[in-house]
Amino acid sequence: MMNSIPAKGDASLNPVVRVYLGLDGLSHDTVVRAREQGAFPEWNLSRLIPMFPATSDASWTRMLHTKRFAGFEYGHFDPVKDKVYNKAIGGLLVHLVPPLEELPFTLPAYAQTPAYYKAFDYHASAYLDALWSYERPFYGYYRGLDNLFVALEGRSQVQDTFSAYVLETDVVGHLRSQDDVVDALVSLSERIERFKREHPERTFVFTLFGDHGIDGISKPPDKVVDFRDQLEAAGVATVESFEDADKVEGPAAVAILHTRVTYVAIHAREQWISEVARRASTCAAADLVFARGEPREGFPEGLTWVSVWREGNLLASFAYEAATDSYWLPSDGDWAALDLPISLPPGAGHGVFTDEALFALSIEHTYPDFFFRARTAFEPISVEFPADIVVSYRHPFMSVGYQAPVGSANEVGTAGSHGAMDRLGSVGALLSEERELPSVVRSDNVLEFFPALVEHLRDREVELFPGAQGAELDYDALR
Amino acid sequence: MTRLPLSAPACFLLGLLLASSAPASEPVPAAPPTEPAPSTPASEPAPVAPATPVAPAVPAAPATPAAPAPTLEKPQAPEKPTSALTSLYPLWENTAHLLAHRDMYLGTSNAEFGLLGVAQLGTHPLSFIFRTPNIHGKVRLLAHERLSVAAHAELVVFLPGSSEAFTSSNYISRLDTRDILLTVVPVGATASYEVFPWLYLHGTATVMGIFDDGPYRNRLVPGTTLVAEFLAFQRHTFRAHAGEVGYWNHDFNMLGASYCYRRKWFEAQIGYFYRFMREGRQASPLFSLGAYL
Repeated sequence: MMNSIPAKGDASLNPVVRVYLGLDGLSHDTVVRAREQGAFPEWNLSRLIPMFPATSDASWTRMLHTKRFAGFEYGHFDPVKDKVYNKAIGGLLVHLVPPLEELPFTLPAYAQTPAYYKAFDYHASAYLDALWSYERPFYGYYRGLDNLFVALEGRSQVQDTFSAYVLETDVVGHLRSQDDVVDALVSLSERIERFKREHPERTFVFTLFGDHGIDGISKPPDKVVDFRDQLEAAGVATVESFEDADKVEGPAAVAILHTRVTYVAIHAREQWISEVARRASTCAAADLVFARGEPREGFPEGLTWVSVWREGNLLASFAYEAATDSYWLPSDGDWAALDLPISLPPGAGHGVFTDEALFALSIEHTYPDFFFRARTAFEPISVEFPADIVVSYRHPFMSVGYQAPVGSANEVGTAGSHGAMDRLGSVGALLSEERELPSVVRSDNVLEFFPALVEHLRDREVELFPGAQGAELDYDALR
Repeated sequence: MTRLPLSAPACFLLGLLLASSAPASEPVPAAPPTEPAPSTPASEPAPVAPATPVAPAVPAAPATPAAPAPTLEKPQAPEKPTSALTSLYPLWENTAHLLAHRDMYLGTSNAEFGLLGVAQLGTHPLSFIFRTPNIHGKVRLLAHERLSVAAHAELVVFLPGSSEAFTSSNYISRLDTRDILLTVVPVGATASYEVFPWLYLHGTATVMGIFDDGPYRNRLVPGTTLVAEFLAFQRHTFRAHAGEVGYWNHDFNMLGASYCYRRKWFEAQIGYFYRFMREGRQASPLFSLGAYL
């Protein structure tokens, strides 16, 4: 009913409207290519480095500082209840068919929509929006843009800030190609300019930001794998609960298959974490395996340790000291194998680096912002139950995620993916008319740059939570 | 109008009202009513008389002072298709048909009550759940053989928060009334014309008043709609809808199609509507269930 009421506001009350568009899977590379075709010509562009694993629900939650999501995605393991929720096709359906939040009955927590949706004035165009978007991504994208701009026109009558979320850029990246994403972005740029021309009564200032990149690497069918099979082959029993794990002699783990992404989250009893990580790193799909590390002798107590495995070997371990926001890097780490230009003085047992120093030295390499992202993957920042082990896939492997009963459905979504630690699927984009930007921004800090967006979230009664400890960066020093 | 199937409480309420309605004021016929409503396309309209429900667009209306009561002895006639009492698209569409005196229509999109055969009061009941109290009325101005004209007015109050009150956050309102009380008053007239017994046209001219202390501006917006109603079969009606809102200060065009199934006291409507705006196209599936009591 309300959409048929042509109410108009007084433009003198909000002559400037800031518009924040969250585009799922907005990768830096596609934005650069869209700009080469004339899109977003005068806008400031920055690389945006998301959390690891770079996956939507957890990443938007982290970026917008909203209430934690249970797991990295709908499918997750609750170690308190010792149960896997939303597994396989059921998890997919929960993802596609949203709950009716406003009906007066209580939804189980595991089926609730993520809190970050509330940060957006607009996040979908219909109840089964996600389902149709995956069925017909371009139709869904353009229909979504229609609804978004209609909503913007209406809401800007009285609001001086508008926020919206667009799912379909990610869907196009998964299902189609990077060329198609570029076309979609060029079209968006044209729509934005047309909207501005048609509404000269106000000045619209746009900012676009993404939650992760898209690797743009097509996944052959034989590389779309169920990691549990590989774990079993590596001698790790895969179970559905710790109770079941305890019945197994030898290493056992709960592996969470998410959607079609390039990482897998694994939960294991503490005594088995290192062994499961080591064995997982021998699997064909694994590039790197990250795990909660064990304290090492010769280092101060109270450090938080992370270990990194590849092909059965412990490549490196490092520790974070919260009090000084610095990282302790032992000299026995094979940093070169991680493409990290770490140099320690000859004979030194370890080096201590600031967060800014490690951010700067890793950002142009294969694993950008390696240390912060690896460390915070195991902290309950945007995720209630973070994993004990995270497997970062090598290209062109991808997790099968779900196995649909219809054969052809298992071949969709293989044009590209994200989630792994490497830059291809990680580096997103931050694009703004509102202000100048550093060349690279850690996604945890996005809100620092846009106080109007923070104010808007508060207006929308979004409860904001503290971010990761030590996430702040001195961007002036990094220039 | 609602976008979703009936909620459980609404079903319960509807069932309760249906169950309790029969003995209200008139005896329940032992057999289905055999006389079509006076204004049905297949019947001759009754002469206009004060306090006589001359044009209740109600299928199989119960006996009224102007209509002979059905008798058990009379052979049962087939149900005749009937023109719409209300239209499906909200605020801008209507018909000139009215309920008979003390007749009632109770549905998810509308609840209507006939007064004296010349007027009708109603509301959109489900809107109350979404923080939008409302009331509307319709008065007959003219009832000719094939032409009826009615004036109508509506008062809709969007309480603060109504713009966020949806069953799913997947929906968004074009308006923001989180901290705003917005009053909307559409006033207009509708002419319903029987072109053929199987074709009705309903033309509605409306001026919508939009009132707010700010930040919305007080304004009047004109709009017209046209509904072509094809009474194709005994119980099945198809409608085509078109509209223009804003004119010289164009806001949107509307285009849609709907289907209505009616059997005895039961009515179901389903439609799909597009709004064409400068910023893009919006689609609205609309759905309604109702009962003539």
